[in-house]
Amino acid sequence: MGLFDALNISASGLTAQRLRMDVTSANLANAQTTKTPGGGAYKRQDVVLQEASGSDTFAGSLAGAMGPDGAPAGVEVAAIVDDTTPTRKVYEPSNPVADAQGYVEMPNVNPVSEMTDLIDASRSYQANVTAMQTTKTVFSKTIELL
Amino acid sequence: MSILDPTQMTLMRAISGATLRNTVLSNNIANADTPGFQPSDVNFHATLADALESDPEGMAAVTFTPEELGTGPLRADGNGVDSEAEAAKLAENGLELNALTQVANSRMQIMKTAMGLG
Repeated sequence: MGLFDALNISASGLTAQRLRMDVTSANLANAQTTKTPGGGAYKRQDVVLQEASGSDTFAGSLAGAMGPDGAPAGVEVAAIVDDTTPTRKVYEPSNPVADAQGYVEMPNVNPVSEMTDLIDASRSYQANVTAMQTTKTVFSKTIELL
Repeated sequence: MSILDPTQMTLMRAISGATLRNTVLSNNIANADTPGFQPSDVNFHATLADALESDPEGMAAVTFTPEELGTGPLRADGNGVDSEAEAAKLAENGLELNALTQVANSRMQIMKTAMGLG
């Protein structure tokens, strides 16, 4: 349990939310992408977050071994998964990637829900920044004790 | 009897408790989008009050443990974090920590003056 745990925890929140914004931006940018290296249309991606165990750092392992239960260690990205929602088919025979029936597979990206995801991630990012500022102000006061 | 009187010791433990609470509340905010996460809090006031009542001289040994709030899931993904409530608690705890450090600091200055270091 160190003085800067709270700052590191808020930083892990910033990293996680930044990645969510990156992935959401990629979804928005590829909302019309019909051709991917893996074949087929672009599949929407989703970030799965999980509570960090902290056991992958020395300080975390030490705290886990000394304390009754692990100290809070923030958040981490568990995985980036493909959204399995079915893709749309659009009739467009002139398109080079159209199938034999003239249908083009479009990504399963809904720009409106991507925008709300983006706002959600950016607000969560701000919440972590505010938490970080509070911690910083308070700790500089504590240091004045010395 | 240590050089620090029980009041000063209590102030120091309170600062320690409020610091842990700051960490735990920050963790709640960082996990506001983690599926299945349940927020925790540190009730260091109650722990200190109990310790003051039972053994004021043994304040130095008081430890604090975070406890899950048990509010249950607030969203479909099982997350139980109310971001606004957590932010309010964090701000309140920050003010309290500021107050505690100021009082502790003033008492320290008095002690230094008494020792002829002021």
